[in-house]
Amino acid sequence: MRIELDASLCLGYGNCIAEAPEHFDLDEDTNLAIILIENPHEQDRGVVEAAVRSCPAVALRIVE
Amino acid sequence: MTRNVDSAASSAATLIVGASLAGVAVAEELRTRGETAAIIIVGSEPDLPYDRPPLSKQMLASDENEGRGAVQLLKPADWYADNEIQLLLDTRAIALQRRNGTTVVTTDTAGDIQCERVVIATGSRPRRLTFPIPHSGGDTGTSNDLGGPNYLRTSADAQRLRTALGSTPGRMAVVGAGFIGLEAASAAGKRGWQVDVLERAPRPLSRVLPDDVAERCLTGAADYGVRVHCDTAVQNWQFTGQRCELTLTSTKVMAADLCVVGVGAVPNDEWLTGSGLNLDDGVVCDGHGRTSMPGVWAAGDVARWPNAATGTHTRHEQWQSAREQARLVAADITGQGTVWNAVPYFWSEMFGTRIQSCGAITSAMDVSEISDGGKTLMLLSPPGAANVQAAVAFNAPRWFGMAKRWVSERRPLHDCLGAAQTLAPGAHLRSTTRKETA
Repeated sequence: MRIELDASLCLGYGNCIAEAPEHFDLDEDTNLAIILIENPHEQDRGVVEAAVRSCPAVALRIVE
Repeated sequence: MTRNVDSAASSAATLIVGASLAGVAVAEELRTRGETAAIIIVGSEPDLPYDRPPLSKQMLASDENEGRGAVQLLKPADWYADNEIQLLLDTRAIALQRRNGTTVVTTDTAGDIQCERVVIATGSRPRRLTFPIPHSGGDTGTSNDLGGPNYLRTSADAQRLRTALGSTPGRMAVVGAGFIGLEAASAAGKRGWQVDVLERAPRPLSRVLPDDVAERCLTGAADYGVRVHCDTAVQNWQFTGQRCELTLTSTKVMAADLCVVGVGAVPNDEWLTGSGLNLDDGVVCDGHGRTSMPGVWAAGDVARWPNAATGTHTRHEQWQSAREQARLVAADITGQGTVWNAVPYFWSEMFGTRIQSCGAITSAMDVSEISDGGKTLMLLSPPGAANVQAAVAFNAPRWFGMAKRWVSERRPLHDCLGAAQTLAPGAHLRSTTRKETA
């Protein structure tokens, strides 16, 4: 699976970091999310999916 | 007339009453969890389901009805049919009752709908400000297209207010220094309006935040041309179109070109009176969203849920709570339910500050503040306690992301402060213990 970010939708809420801090970070200058691991391990699917679904701006998605 | 969903599927069908955030989230989660039976959503508004937070933020920012300024639909128009979800808009539920082992919901224009499973997600509406002594002359304050006060809940409200803000900036009065009022004040101030916020309590945001935190929210208000007057109640008012005169005391009247009111919300549960459901400031639910009636769940602003993380059993009005509850209801319906134990979270934006908050906050808490330039993180603890129970961040989403984790782990304060130093080596630390309130 691959995580994709639509930067035009991202509002820097940081929900993704709270759910999966190993997979996401926030660029303090642009206030946009940073995907730390673009192709996460299958065993991390739970936290990654939780992070993607936690975004109020619906800026993240998982592409299989 | 009783409308039966395709009878072969009706035993497993779900009727969702309410087509906003919680209602649509229940439907989405049911499908995500593999539910194939019929789903009907009934909504009282005529518009396709949309998101409410932008109504008091981006939508008021400019006249543009495009991009960020447009109404943000929760789902594209064809999503419903594509997922075999029947969406009945402009249809209001007016009664609910158990009949022969199923639940029947009566609507105003679509007759009776009978389903084995019903989810109540009818949300809340703004509390109306009314005055007992009728004023002579002028309008009594009923809102209509011709004038009166502006409440802010629906996209129609937001478009009405946006149109008013688009005229030559004048003076705006805001009644209520809660999030709705302050966000509207911020948008108007940014567009050149002179704004006076009238709050009857001694402090703004007093319902939800302690002093230090509330004060920090208002940093920047003056730069936006916004003044907040506390201990100031509106005694009466009169309107001529959108223009108003607010009576503050026996000798003080404030005139304004525009008036916005944000004085709280009430649950839309009146339609359930007589249904037999347990109602007490909303529909009373357990930690799975089950109501007192089998086969009936509730989620969102209309529902009162216990939260295992905070130990409270109250009605929650946050976006995040509505969505979490809706997903838990869908999980329970599909037999995979757990109880709600997520740390409460909400966000706001006002006067150039992004505010994020998580945890159970009361007005009496010890505050440890970490700040670096315009970024501030406040860690809140019960007086004298060693753990962090809540966190509020200002213009610091990355710090907030970490703090949210700490709160859900109930991490000891000294641990969090240590972690904060690593996150932000140059930051300034300050602790204050609870001030005695008068």
